[in-house]
Amino acid sequence: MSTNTFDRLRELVCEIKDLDEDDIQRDTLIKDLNFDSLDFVELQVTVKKECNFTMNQTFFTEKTTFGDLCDHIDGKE
Amino acid sequence: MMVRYSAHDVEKWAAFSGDYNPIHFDKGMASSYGMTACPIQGMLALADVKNKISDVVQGKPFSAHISFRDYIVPDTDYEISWDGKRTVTLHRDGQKLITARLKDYVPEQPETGLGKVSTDAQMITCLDEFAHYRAEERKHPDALWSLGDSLLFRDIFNTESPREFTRDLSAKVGVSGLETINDVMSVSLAVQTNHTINVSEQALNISSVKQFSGFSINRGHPSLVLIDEEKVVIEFLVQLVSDNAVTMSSKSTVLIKRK
Repeated sequence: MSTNTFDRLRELVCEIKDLDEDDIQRDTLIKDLNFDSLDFVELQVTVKKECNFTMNQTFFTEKTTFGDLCDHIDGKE
Repeated sequence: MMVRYSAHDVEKWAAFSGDYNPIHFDKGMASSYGMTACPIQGMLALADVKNKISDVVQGKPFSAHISFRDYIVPDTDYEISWDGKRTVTLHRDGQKLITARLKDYVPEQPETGLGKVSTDAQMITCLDEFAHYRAEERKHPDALWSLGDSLLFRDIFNTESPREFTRDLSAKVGVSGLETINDVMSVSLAVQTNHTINVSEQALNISSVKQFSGFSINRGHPSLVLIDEEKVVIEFLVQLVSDNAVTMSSKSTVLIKRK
């Protein structure tokens, strides 16, 4: 996992959901971040612009963690 | 701060801005998308959110990232609040409809992807009329920088995107052959999801509508930022520029459902 992806993604999600960095760790479940559809679009757009990666909602399951998402973006999953 | 919008407000904003997206006027269309009523234009409600931002920033340059979280309907009371940290919210019954996250101002360079135009007498007159309407409705004037943002948004709607861009967009949306962005919006759901503004000290010091004369409006090239199975997302950037310095800028993000 790229440290930059984790840090940047965490910064982005904290901004979208008004969270503190300590609220998000690698093992944080995505479902516990309570994304709504607009949150997801906002995250999708920023990830696309910064990483040239298109996030797909089908990737997410009940067990998907924040670390899983970072790995997915980094092409390791 | 309590706010409420009428059908007349919707018409006045459409007349000023050019936003005649049928979703705001066609009850059948709104209903087909599961809406209880025709929603008002997000930028209309944002005008009041921006006035609250003005109270909060107290003359300090800033940037604001605005999210339009759900639709707002006429003849309903909404409240606008500041959380004391960094977010102004328009809400009702615990539901957030618009959130504006305040951040530091970021100096920018002028962009001229689609060229630039000078603010002319007709634009200023139009803006002045709208400003007067708003001041009468709200019993106080809108912040001048906020009107500047409205002027920039108006420019997006009144500037046709390059035909190649629009044809490519309409093909991706699944309605080939359309020539203008308004045509695309008339056949597919188009929703503004975000709006980002960057407001300099110069913008905050504008003290009358007439002072908007002598600026140029710089237009960035519209960009297709995302496409997936369900939607296409595009961004428009416009800037208010004086003496080759960006006074303020607006970036609008629009989501269009694919057919």
